[in-house]
Amino acid sequence: MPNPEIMSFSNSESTDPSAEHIGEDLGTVQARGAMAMDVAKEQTGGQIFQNLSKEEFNSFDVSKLSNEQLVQAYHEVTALRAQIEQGSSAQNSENTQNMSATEVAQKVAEPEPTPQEPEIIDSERARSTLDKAKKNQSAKSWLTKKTMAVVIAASLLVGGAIGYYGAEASTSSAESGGRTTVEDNIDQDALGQETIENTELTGELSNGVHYDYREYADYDNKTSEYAFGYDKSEFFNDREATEDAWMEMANKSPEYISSYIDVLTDEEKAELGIDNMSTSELDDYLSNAQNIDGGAKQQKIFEKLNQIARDKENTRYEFYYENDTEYSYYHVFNDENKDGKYSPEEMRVYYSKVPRNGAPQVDVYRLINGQWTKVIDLNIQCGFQPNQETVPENMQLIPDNPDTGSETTGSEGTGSEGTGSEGTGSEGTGSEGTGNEGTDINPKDPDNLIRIDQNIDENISTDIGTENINHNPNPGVSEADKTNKPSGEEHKGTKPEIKQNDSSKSAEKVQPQKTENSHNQDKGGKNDKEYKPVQSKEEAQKKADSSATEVKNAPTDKQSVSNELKDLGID
Amino acid sequence: MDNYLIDRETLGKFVDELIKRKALPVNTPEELNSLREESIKSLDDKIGMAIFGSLTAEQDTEFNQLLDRGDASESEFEDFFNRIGLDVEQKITDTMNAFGAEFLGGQNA
Repeated sequence: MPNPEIMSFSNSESTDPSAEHIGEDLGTVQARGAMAMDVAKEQTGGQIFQNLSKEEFNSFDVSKLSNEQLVQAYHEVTALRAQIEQGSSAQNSENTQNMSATEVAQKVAEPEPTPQEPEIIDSERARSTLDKAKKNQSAKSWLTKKTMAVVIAASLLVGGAIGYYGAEASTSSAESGGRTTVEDNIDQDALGQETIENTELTGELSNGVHYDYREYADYDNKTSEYAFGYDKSEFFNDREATEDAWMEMANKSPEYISSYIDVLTDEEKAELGIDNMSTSELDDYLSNAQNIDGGAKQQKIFEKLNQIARDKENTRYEFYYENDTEYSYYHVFNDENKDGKYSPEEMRVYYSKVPRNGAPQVDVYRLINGQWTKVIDLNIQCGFQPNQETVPENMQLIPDNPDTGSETTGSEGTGSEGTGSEGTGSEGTGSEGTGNEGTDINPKDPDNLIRIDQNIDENISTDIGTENINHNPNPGVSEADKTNKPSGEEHKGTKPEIKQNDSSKSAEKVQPQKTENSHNQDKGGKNDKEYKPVQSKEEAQKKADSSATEVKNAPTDKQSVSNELKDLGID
Repeated sequence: MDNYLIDRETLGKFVDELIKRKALPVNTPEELNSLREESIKSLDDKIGMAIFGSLTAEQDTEFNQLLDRGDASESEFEDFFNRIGLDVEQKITDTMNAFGAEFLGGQNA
């Protein structure tokens, strides 16, 4: 039973020298066997256990000790246990070799502070200090300098640990040629004999992935997604300045030109010697032309682009201001002999299965100079933006149905006849009229593009169970219009009777004429400021002046007003 | 001011060395760049925690006073760590080595 007097020896549980507590400690020591017994007697210099045999030690009954003996025994056992548990031998410890058990016990119970290993504060406090330090420029700068000094050494250590540095680094350094390496910028003596290869910004990983950090560091980079952000507002509406800016951009980053090569015909590409190069190959060539052929071909390509960009006769720049934020332009070829007018058969609509930003796209193509050219793509997220993307002859889209030919997409039936598309209508223009027969659009990748206008007809045909689909290519023509045209057998060879100034009919309301590329697409909604017609103030003023009409002085008295009304035939 | 304790490009050099030495589970440059950024951020955090986590409560308070002043110079920070006997360079080195070993030895690092 614990002695009440002993219990009051200390309030600290850890120094409680009660018989029960000491018994537990002794039991621990005893459990370690004879070896522990020897250590206990020999190394603690203990007074209680010194003369005990192994048997007596193992069967020692703590409750038989006096209070003084109990205290002494406590210290001896505590010291003994601490030393055994630490796995250290007091025999090898200069500090404890000549100490009493009490001193040893005190030493163990109260470990000396170790300045080299400060108390680890809680992580929350460290986090708070870290966050504060991140906002202190001096602290950041100082730690960065420390880190810069360490990075190289740390690299060496890590490299050495896995054995990748050393001979390989030396070899790489030797092969680096004129490339700047870290070793050029550091004190070799301070670092030892090791050489360090410069961190490459571009290269290939062991799994074959090509990486190029410059794409993320330089917004002007050729393939950067931010390249779209070139500021085009400075030369808005100024063709010549735009030409200069464009050419300057191409001069600084010749690889930039590769994006525009698709506008060249195969013949032009062959002249430049780039007809067999893919866009990425051309990009690579333009990026390294000086090292490949001294830039000879690069210069020819640049001159060609320069010629196209400045060709005022055959090309034009369309400037636009999009979403109230972006001034931009696109450069297009003037269409030969079309004066901007197209028949419906010269336009096709495709649904692209290749999404952009996760949204599906619809592409609108026009037949320009005998080539199907993408003029608009509609993207659900981006709205729409005009693009000029010529489909090369060897790039084939979804073909016309060979069984139905252009009829399926054309306007055979009521539409073409009534709207005056005869001659340029479906039968003539769709394929034959533009000389596309035999070279008409063929599948590029059926999985990627689906021709919508054709599909709509096919879908309707399936739905209503007929192959004859009569759709109206000109929704502006009403049924009333159609009744006045010759139709049926009885009218064959006749012409419609036309009466001038026929007072029996009320005047038709005159619809405002819509012209091609008028840009007058203001629908009054969010996009009401988009695609405003580009015109100078002088032009606008001139137009306003010409439409002005003279206004007489307004009559003020009643009689004058009556007279004016009479003059106008109003009684 | 960015949210890094240490210049990210400085740490980036070290991370790049590690990336070059390990077949990574990435398929695109974007994924690679993302992994690189995460690694830099993680290393920056580990170094900061290793240094400031080594301060005693008293030292931490004193260091915070230096930071709060706002005009403490780099030499004052140097003096502080010299005085408390904390080898900052060694802390950084140890952290980087541990980070590198974990990165290169990890299954999916």
